[in-house]
Amino acid sequence: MQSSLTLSIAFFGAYLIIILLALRLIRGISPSVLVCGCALLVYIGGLCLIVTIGWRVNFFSFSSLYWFLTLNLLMIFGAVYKSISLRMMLNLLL
Amino acid sequence: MINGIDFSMGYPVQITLIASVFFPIVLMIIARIHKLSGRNDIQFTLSFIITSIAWLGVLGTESICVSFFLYIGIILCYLEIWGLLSRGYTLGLLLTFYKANTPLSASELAGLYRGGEGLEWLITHRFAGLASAKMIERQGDKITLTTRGTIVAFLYKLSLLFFGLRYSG
Repeated sequence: MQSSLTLSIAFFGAYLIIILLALRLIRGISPSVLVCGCALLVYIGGLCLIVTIGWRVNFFSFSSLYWFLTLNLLMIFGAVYKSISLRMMLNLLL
Repeated sequence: MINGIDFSMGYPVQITLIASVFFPIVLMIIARIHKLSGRNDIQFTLSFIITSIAWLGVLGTESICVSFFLYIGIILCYLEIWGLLSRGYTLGLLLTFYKANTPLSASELAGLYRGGEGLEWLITHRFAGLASAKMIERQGDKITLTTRGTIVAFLYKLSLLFFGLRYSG
């Protein structure tokens, strides 16, 4: 289980770096689509990499931590990107 | 086991998945309690507490790590869906179009939003929420940020920079 959780954290780290770059470099695709699409791509790509290299992981341990971290990030991203209340507060700050 | 990936599902994972299936059922029941009508936040929190107590009661404290991540991950999915249904501005507009069943002008759409309460309701509702969270306060005929509100707005500004977002809200 230890390696499954470590791999989840590693792939989440990769996901974080990818979205930070993608949000700055890719124009013309909605940021929501980018972050959700990248989450799925990194997850599927991660599973493919594990199968290719032959690491031994438990599917549920790996998936649960990866999606737990990713969903937390997506919740924060959703609030930052779409919250009307936060936008109103920023307007009051400026 | 398929090419190194172990798909075996232990007892804690099974219990967690069962609890996750029960969560929306509990939420549906609680959402129909008349006294809690319109209190979407309390409905969700109460459902979460009831399901979590049952989940922990059956699970015990062993092997809680993976189950915790799985359970909270699934609850976050439900929370996203619940948040969209209860606070989704765009979905509210689509629902207004659907209920009207006829093409609407911008002013008609604004007037019919949320069952006739109008778009004004949206701003009033959000300002009321911010005021009850003590993020903003009224000073005469103007609205200002409280200290807490200023900190949150500053963190929001930093988050926009972190994610590299140009547009938001």
